[in-house]
Amino acid sequence: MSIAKQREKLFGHAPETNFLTESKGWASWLCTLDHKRIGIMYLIGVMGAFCLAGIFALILRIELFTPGQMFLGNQTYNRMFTLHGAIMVFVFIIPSIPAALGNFVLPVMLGAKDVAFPRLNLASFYLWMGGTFFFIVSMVSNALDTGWTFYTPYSVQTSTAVIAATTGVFILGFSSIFTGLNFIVTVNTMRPPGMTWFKMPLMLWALYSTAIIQVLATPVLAITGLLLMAERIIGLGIFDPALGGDPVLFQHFFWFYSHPAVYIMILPAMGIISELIAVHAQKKIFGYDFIAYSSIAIALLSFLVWGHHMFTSGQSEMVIVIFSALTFSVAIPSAVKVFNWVATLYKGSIALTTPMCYALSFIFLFGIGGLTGLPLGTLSTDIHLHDTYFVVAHFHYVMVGGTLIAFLGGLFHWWPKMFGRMYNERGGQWGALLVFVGFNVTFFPQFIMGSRGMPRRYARYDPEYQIFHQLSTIGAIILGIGLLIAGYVLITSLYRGKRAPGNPWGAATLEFQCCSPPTFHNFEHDVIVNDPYDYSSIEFDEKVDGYVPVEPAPAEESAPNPLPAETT
Amino acid sequence: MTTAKPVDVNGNAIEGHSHDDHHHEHPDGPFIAHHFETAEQQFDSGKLGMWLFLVQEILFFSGLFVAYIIYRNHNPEIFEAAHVHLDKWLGGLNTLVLLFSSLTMAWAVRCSQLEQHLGAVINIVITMVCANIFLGVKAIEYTHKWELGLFWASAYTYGQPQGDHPPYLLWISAPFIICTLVSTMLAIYFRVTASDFWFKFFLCMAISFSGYFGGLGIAWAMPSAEHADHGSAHGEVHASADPGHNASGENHEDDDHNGQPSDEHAKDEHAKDEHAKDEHAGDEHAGDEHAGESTHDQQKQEVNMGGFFSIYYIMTGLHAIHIIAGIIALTWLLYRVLALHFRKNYFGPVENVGLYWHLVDLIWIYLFPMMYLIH
Amino acid sequence: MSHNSQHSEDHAYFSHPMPVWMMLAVFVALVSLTVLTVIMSELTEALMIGQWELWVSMGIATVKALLVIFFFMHVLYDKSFNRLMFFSSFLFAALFIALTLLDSYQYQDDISSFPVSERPDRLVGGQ
Repeated sequence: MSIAKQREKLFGHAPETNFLTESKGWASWLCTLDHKRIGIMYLIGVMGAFCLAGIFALILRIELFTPGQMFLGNQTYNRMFTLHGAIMVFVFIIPSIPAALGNFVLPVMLGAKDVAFPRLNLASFYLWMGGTFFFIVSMVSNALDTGWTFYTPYSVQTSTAVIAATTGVFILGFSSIFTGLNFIVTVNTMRPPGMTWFKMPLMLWALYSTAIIQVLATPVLAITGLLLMAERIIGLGIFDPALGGDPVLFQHFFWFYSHPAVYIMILPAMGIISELIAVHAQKKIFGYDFIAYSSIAIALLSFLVWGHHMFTSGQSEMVIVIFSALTFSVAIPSAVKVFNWVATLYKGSIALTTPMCYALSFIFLFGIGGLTGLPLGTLSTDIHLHDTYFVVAHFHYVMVGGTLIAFLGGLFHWWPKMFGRMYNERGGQWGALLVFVGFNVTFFPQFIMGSRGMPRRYARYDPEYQIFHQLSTIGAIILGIGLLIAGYVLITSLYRGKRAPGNPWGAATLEFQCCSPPTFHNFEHDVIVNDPYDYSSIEFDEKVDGYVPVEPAPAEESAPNPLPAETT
Repeated sequence: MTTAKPVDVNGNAIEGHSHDDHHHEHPDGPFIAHHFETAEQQFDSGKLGMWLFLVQEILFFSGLFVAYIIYRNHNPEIFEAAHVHLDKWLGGLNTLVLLFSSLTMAWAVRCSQLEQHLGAVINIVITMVCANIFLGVKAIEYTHKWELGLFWASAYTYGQPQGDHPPYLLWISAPFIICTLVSTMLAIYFRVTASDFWFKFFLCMAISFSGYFGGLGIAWAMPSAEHADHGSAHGEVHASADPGHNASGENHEDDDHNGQPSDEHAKDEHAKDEHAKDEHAGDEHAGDEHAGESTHDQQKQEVNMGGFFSIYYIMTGLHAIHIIAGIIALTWLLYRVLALHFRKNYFGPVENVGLYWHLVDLIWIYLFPMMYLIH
Repeated sequence: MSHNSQHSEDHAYFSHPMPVWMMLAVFVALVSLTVLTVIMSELTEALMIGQWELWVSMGIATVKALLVIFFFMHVLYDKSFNRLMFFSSFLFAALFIALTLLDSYQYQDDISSFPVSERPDRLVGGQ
């Protein structure tokens, strides 16, 4: 098929309906099997959870403005940080990128009509709802105060709603497993002709690696939750030392899942960044193979390092040394990715669009978050830093500075594709800037006070830490304002934004070959699989106010990397 | 992957008006979903999905195996003392039942691949009967232990006088009684109303559920159940007094209720425990000046015996839940086989339920020696 | 494969029905191994295998498991990717078990040397 014909098909006529308008009413959404609608429903759900847990965070930060008590009692404080952590981790971050954005983009990027098991996909969404429901039950009944880690023996003894929360975790775990299972099968069996493994966008490699972790690690969380419930309900005695159980075993169980879960959070974020950097710098991604393999490597290595959460928990010396040594190995594939992104930016035509602003923030913040992980993986320093604000700052730099920022970047990148509207670019950039500044003001002081010994999870503190806590609180407010602006920009675009073209950014991946928003079956024509990072044959067209494919310039441009001729 | 047919078959239809997939039958048959291009692609996807689910199951059970191995390694004496309460003959019987159900399941897959519908129905029903037999035997094993007070760690009361206990076996059998009765009545109803399909379906279901009572009967009738094993494990002293227990199956019920023989067991068990404990304590707390030590330690010993049963119940219990899930999946298959859904290019569901069923068997293959054959 | 030669000309025929004799042979092998492992546990003293009994019975269980996997679960005919995935799950389970067990061996002494008198009351249960 000639490019001209493809172009005619792409932009010659607008399709009459898209996935948002092709059927109407609540039931058409709640019973939909369309991956795009499920993705949007997930998006709304996880944003709700994020707002809830974010409000908890703000309340905690304001309480910490002074060393003594302002308005939160100690027990309320404990419950609030527990719910902040547990909801953020289990209800928001883990499903955020794979289930919300991934559900929307994975089949379209792949050139498939849907995920392999659409019903399972919907079931996974309802499981997510069910799990969230149990979290809310545990919140309003007798709010959990164990910390998001549910460590025994306290979680067996406390009178708070551990069972409801554990049920929630159990159900959310299966939601996550089914999403991962669906993605693996989709990528393996649903690729259209011409879409080979190494023509897949890096986002798909990242989601695939994530899915491997979801399927392999999450069941261990499920059994942990189940045993903990049995422990509380019938007094099983496997983790409870009062009945001859072994509480360190619980931590092994918990972290066998929860360390790989950290990579469930960050890997898809890395995938998003690989897309954003290449598209918004209009430059072929540097070291495609290395980024792809490093995703798989991170997924596999993530299973070898869980013990570094237990250096001070009574774990034995030999195992501590083994885990400490293995922990450093994860730094290698992570660094490979960062170097490749930076190399991609080099001499690229960087456009400071909102997604790119988030991508640049990500590189900076993830760099800090990753490097501060090294002192925590080092035995000698970790003994000092363990359970201080240093740890809190470290994982917020990775989870918020990494995952949340990438999530927002991806959201701004695919928003025109999702809803067919362009947002206000200036507003988006301001939001990104405020988020970046606010984030650093919040968490950088925590590194300092953590290294000076401020322990985490304390409601009260010595006055010497007050200046850092106050900075942190101010930063959190700035961060909140930035997020509000970002949300405002996105929501107003739905009403006031101009219509988005099929390809607003000049991306070469398949989701930008279909119109915005896509039709029910994603593509109105057979997809043409090209190099996902070759921007030489795409250029801006005034008429459609977006990018369109052009005939590649003859001879020299197409010579270096002749693609196999697979016109379908 | 084979080269796919053009998408246009559906693509054209979409441009028309409707997006309802059921209006446009896939060229490969009514059960091939619109987003797959060939029946083989759908089969491969389904099978890969099932394998991934099994991977998930293995990791799920791996946590229990970790708990088991750690407890066994650090408390071998408890495992040796506790396992005498498990009857290896009943366990062995259940192993054979599950192996046989695996055979019939594999055979059902073969039948549906070859479009031998009657064979598929027969094999699936046999598989379900075996699953119910397994549960019946398990119900006898569980309730017998509960009657003796052999519970998990915090409820462990073995050796203490057992008061009146609720009718455990009746409780646990109630769902099966209801299911059997309802299936039978529905079968009769549909027979009367001459609804052939549903008559067959509920007849098969009634036959399947009746397997549970077969399991109960077999476990009752097993000549060596429970007591003989106690005898051999308790060594010479008890063995001479034992023949009475071995004599016949009917005695068992009485034993459990009149209390006297089980007290005898308990006494023996106590003697043994105390002996083991003395050695143990001697090694480790030689200089312990604690006055109430012996009572404390004795209780600790019993709690730890409960530790074995905690692991036993959680492992076999989760396995039994998987068996029940398997029965539900097999019921679904039975419906579809009777409705003649499966054909040469569409038998994925049978194959995938089969994979699941074999995994459940696989887990039992390990559970059996781990729980029942300890020395 | 002679059973299905009459079907082979059909399009979209991608199944591998297992021959009946093979299923029966596998079943007989599984039953024999089960009987063997029970007999061994009965005769464990006579056979003087003592501590090896655990390993022998787990070995027999593994042989049985492999028979089920390769024949009943059709792994013998399956795609190599499915095979790889299934067996790698055992690898991850083994990793989990090995590292946890290694650790518990090391710290177990700390637990067992902890004097009973210093344990809180709940530790001795039921009071």
